[in-house]
Parts: sequence; structure tokens; C-alpha cells
Amino acid sequence: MSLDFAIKDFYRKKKQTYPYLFTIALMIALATFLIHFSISFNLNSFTDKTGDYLNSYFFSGVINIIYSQFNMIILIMIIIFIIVILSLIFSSFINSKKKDISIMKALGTLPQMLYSFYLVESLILFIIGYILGYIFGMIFYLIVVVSIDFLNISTFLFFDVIFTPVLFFVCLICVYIISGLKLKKIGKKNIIKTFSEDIKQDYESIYRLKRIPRWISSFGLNLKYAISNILRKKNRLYHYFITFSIISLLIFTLSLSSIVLNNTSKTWINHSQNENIIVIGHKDVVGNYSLMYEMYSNPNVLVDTNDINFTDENYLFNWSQINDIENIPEIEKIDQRLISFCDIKEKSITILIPPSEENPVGGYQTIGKDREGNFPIIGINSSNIIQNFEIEGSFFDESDANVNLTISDGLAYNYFDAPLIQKMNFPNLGEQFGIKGVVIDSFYSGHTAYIDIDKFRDMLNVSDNQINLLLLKTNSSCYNDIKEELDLILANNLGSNFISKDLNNVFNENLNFIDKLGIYNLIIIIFVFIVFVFSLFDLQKGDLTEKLKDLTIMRAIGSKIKNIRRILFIEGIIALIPSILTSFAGGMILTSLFLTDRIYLPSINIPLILIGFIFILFIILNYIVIIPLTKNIKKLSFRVATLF
Amino acid sequence: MSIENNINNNQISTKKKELTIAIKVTNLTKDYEIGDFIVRAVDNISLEILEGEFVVIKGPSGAGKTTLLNLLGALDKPTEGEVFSYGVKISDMDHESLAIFRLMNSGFIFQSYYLISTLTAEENVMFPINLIGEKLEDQRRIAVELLKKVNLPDRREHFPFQLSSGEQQRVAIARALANDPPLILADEPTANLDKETSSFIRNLFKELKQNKKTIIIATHDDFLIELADKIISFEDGKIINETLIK
Repeated sequence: MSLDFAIKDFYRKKKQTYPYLFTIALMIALATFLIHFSISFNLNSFTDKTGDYLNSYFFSGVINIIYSQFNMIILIMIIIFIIVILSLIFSSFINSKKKDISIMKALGTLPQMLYSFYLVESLILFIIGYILGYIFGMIFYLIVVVSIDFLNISTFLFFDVIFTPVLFFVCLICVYIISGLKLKKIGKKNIIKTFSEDIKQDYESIYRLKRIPRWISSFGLNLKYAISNILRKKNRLYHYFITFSIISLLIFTLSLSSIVLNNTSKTWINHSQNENIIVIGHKDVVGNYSLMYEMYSNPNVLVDTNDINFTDENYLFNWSQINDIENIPEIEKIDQRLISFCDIKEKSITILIPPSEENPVGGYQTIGKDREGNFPIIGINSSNIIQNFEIEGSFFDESDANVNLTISDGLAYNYFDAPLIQKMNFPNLGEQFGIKGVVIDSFYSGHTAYIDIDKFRDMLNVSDNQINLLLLKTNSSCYNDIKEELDLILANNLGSNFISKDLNNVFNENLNFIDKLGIYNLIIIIFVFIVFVFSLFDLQKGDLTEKLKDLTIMRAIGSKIKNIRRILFIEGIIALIPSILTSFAGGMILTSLFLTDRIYLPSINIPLILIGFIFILFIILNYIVIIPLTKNIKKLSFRVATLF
Repeated sequence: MSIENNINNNQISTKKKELTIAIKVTNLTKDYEIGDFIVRAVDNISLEILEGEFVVIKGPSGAGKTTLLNLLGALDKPTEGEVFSYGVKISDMDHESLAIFRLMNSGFIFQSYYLISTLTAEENVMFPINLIGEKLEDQRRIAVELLKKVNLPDRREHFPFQLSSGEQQRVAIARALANDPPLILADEPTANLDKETSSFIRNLFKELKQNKKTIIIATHDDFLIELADKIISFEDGKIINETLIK
């Protein structure tokens, strides 16, 4: 009987059921999309799944970690949002059945029977909504992934079999609990009280109205009605408040973090690359060196030890052979380098853990997994480095150049557990170095190490003063102006195989890659906005359906449609103001909690402008959704109104 | 119609002992609290209704008639006092027992009809029969018979909102009779209905009376009052007059 009744009720009340179904589907679509998209974008910390890229180091450094962590917060917020909205939907769905439940109770239906009728219907509603949402979400995901492929953004298609089923069961349990509790509450309630509508039977209007200042009437009757309506129908106010708060919190936090993370990441990458850099060396070395920078933004590029032997004697040259370059006035700084692929190994260490409350005995802990790899190592003169790396720890200097080195973020996070207290071995060269600092770097997707050039020459048995790379920092983007002169010096002194190359293009590509990461947030913001518009439409529609009889009476008495729109509009605004303020506070706390210790904070004007923009946008949308909804009131007769 | 006014309590009590008491109410009070304000809808009343008796409760609006009916029909619980229905003390029953009691013993006809909005006329009538576990074909057969009885054989498949007020009320009556309960309670069953429908409903009640159902109606309808065995005048939550009619 329960299933039969549930299906009949579900189908026959489709006008009321479909908006619920649509909202559920939209929420699930958002979650499905986000789960898949975050993995495709390599921004999901809950899984190690990455694209089957040639460049396995692609986007695996600190920027990826910060973006992933922040997006996990967003994903968790969205999941919480979905659960909250589902709770509100099912609470309001069961509430909409209150009258029928009261009738059934009056007829003698046992509470258990009531639960099974509407619990089955709630579960049917959720399951259909989930299936539709999953289909919508996957379609949207496929469209987005295929579309952004045209924008040259590297993503990969992925079909999740873990998170979406988990989401399904979490939501199912939530629906079961919320609907069950609500039904139990109504089931236990006095029948006569359940017959009363949204305003409680014992609502004390005289006492409550004391809290609404009487002078509000002087601002117009519409405002007074709106305030009275919203305060008397508190459930609806909570519904509006929770929905708007979470949506605006999501949009605000996403927008702010998008701006902040983009600016910060670009600054970091810009510092790691610098600007107006020209590289000089053998054409093979220069070509591969340039590609090794390109690896940051291109997952299909990989240079490894099989591609080039950097220490081939044909690639080595002496700075003194081309020191005429110093005479070019546009050149600000010269950085001599020696690059070579080397086998490296993480050195595990054992540390003593002092006794603590949790572990009163203390003990020993091993840090590290002795991971191994082959990466480019760059010999540099630490006092002459042209980059201004973002660094954790510090760069080695002359005093400790023989014992310490500095590694890049990708290597540090993927090959070391606690890099700053571990050591790095060069097993084939019989050397071991302490790690003094970790820099954020775009070179070789952040999988490199910087070592003192003299020490490196010793290790590689390269003759004194020999290098295979020369970096020049010019005072402006003047490569084309000095190219001829440079080429002439190189041709005359090193031969035609030695060339110069401006790295600005590849550097800009890396910065553009950071911009493209913003598309991820942008797509989520758009999706959340769509959810907002439909939620707003649904809320206003539901509200209007409940008030239809009252509004039709108001129309019959002579109220203009304009007045009705104003009442609905003001009600929306009253709920929006505290929501926006809450989301502003929440967004600022979230951003500062998770990002401040790592990022460059923008001026306070930016979040203020952002929240102002969101508020204005919400107000406009609030008005826009009222227009089509209220159009129908013009046509409604009393007969139609009574049907609701 | 001959009416004996102001029959003293002793006379009434003697007559009752000869018949089974369907409803017995002692010191019944019902308060509604609205903040600091307390509305006493039923104020310390006691009464007895015999089996097969047709009782009309009349009084001005706001007198507490609906509250009294709700208490007698086990829809609401009293603030004080006791309600016995067919010897069972219903005022102390828990929710589940009350549900079973309502299902088996009473049929309530509401002023606002209260049909389940998503069920057709036939399904609305079948609903309480279904609850007692009758077979589907029996449910349908009884529902069809009852709908014929209320002169709605052709409206079986229609939803409440597709029916007129009078038709909805007739479906509500058919539903109240679905489990053939001994007690029928009706709250203004002919209010807001046209003359023809009201007349039809009156005839239905006449027939129910002939079938020895205990009927308690809150009404202002003179024609229904004509059918009464007893008239209870109710005002400000109190019985101001109890009149037996021969």
C-alpha cells in the first residue's frame, strides 16, 4: 500500500513535486560535476588519480597542493550545502503533506503507516532526483571537459565509482533521517494543531508584533506586510536564510579565493622565472631547457635523461669565451649555470620523539621512504642567481655550499616527507646534501634542485669554469634588439650550434596556465549561480503557491500587482541582507583561515566590492524571478486559488 | 415536532440506564494557550449520549462546538476531564490506540471536507477500508456502493479539486461510513452547501439514524435539528441547555 500510495501521490502532485525533484537533481548534478571535474583538473586531494600524461610531474607542486586543498574545502562546503538543501527540501516536502497527514491521522491511520507512506515517497523523490542529477551532472561534465580542451586546458575524462556512490548513500541516509524525524514530529503532533497552516495555531501575534516597530508602517504597507509575513512564517525565513547564506558564501569565497590564489600563484611563478630572461647555450641544451620550463604548463612535454646528456663536451663552454656579452648595455645580470640529470635518493632519517601526554614513553620515528628518481640538477652561483624565488627555509650560500642545496616544491612534496630536516643523496656520485630551502619553481614542473656550481663541477668532473647554460637578465623586453649582437658573439666564439633564446614566451605560457586554473573556479561559480537562480525561483514559487489564496484575495480587494511584487521582493531582500552579511563574515574567515599564511592578501576593497556586487546581483535576480511568477496572479480567479 | 424543554437531570439519567451509553463525558475542559492568553473552548462539561441517539449541538460560532466534537471524536485531548466512548476511556489513550479507535469506531465528517488531495473520490473512500486490511476487491466494492449511496457513481475517478463543495462533502460522508462505524460525528456538514445538496445530505443522515447509528452533529441547519433526539445548546464552552425530543 505504501509504495502504491507513494507513487500516486508523487505523480498526481507533480506540480508540487517537480520543483523539488528539479532542485534535488540540480544539487546532485553540481556534486557529480564537481567530484569528476576536480579529479579531471587534478584538484582533488582525496584521490591520487591523475591524467595519463607523458609528463607525470605535471602540476604536482605547491600551487597544486594549495589549489587542491582550497578546492577540497569548496567541495566539502558544496557537499554540506547539498545536505542542508536536501534537509530543507525534504522538511518542506513533508510539511507540504501536513494537511493530508492530518486527514489520514483523523481517519485512524497508525503513525507507522504514515511514516511508510511518506518516507517511501521521499525516498522515491530522492532516488529519481539523484539519477536525473547524476545524468545532468555527467552530461555537463562531459560538455565542459570537451569544451575546455579547445581552450588548450589539460584535463582528462574520469568516471568516478567511489565518491558518487558515497554521496548517494550519505544523502539517502540524510533524506531518511530528515523525512523520518519530520514525519515523527508531525505524527506525534495533535491533529488539530497539524491542521493549522504555516503559522502555528498558538502564534501570539499581539505579543510578537511588539517586536516589530510600529513606525515601520510609515515606510509603506508593503514593507510592513513583508516583515510581518516573514517573521510569522519563520520556517520560510530560515529556509531562505540558510539557502542564500550558503550560496552567497560559496560564490563569495570562490570569487575571492580565485582572485587571491590567481594573484599569489602568478607572483610566485613570476618570481621563480623572472622576466626578460635570455638563455644561451648549445641549441640542444637551449631547446631542452626551454622545454623543461614548458613542462609546467604542458602535460605532454617531457625531457629526461634519455633525451640529452647535458654534460656532453660539445655542450660545454667557458664564460670567458663570450664575455663580450657583458658589454651589451641592456643586460642587467648574468647567471652562469651547469645543468645535468642526476640520480637522486631521499635519505630517510630517524628522529627521537620526546615523551608527551599522548605518548608518555616517547620513542623513535622514521621519516622518509628512500624514494629515488632522476631529475635535472642545476649548478648555480648562489650570490648571482637571477631569480627571486618564493622560499621556505633559505637558499644555500658560500658558507654551506658544500653541504647544502635547495630543492624545488614538486620534488620536495612528492619525494620527501619532511624535506627541511632530510638529506638528499646522489648515489652515483657518492654525495649527500642537506636541504636548506624549498623554492616554488616552474622549471621541470618543480622537480629540480639547485646546488653550488663549483661543487657540481667537482661531482660531475667538469673542468673549472665550464658551463652549459648562461642566463641573461635584460632591463626590458629587448631580445629582438640585441639578438643580432648576441648571435654574432656566439657564432664568432662558440660556433653556429650555440644560440640564444628569449624565454618570455614560455614564461607567459606558464602564467597563462595559472589563469586557466581560474576557469575551474569560474565554472563552479557559474554552476552555483545557476543553482542560486533556480533555488530562488523555487523558493519564491513555493512561497507564492502558499500565499496564492491570500494574494488573490488582495487582488480581489483591489491591490495592484505592483504591490504584490513589492511585498515578495521586500521579503526576499529581508532574507538576503542577513545572508549576505553572514556569507561575507564566513567567507573572510574561511579565506583567512586557510590561505593567509601562504598568500598575498588583497586590499580590503576587493572583498567589499565583491560582496557588494553579489548583493546587487542577488537583488536584481530576486526581482527578475518575481516577474514571471506574479504574471499568473493577474489571471487567477478565486476558484483557481482555492485549488491550491 | 413536540419538544420537552428543561427536563430535569434525574429524568434523563433514568432513561439512559435503560440504553447503552455511547459517549460519556465528565468534567471536560479544553484550554488553548496563546501566549499569556488562555482560551477556554470547553468549560467543565459533563454529558452522556446513548447508543443510536441523534444529538445536535448548536450554538453561536466560537461557542466551542468544534472543539467538543474533536474531543468526542478522539481527535484532540482534553486539558482536564474524561471522555468514555463505548465504555473505553479515550481521553488517556496514546496516539496509536487513538488511531485504531478512530478507524474502527468513529466516522468524522469535517466542515471543510478534508479529502486527501492526491487520491480520487473512490480512493479516498477506500483509504480507511484499506487501513483495516480488507482485500482490494472488497475495498473497491464497498467504495463503489458508498459512492452510489451518496449519488456520486460517476465521479469515482475524480480528484477532490475536480469536485464541487457538495460533491466533496458527499465523498467525505461516504468515507466516514466506509468502515461502518457505530459513531458518526459531523461538524456543520451542510454549511456553505446549496439547497439541493443540503437536502440530500439531510436524507443521508435520516437514513443513518434509521440504521441506529449514534450521530453527533454540530449544526445550525433547522432540517438536521428536526432529526435530533437531543439538542445540546452550547455557549462559551458550556452546556446551557440539554433538550430531549420525543
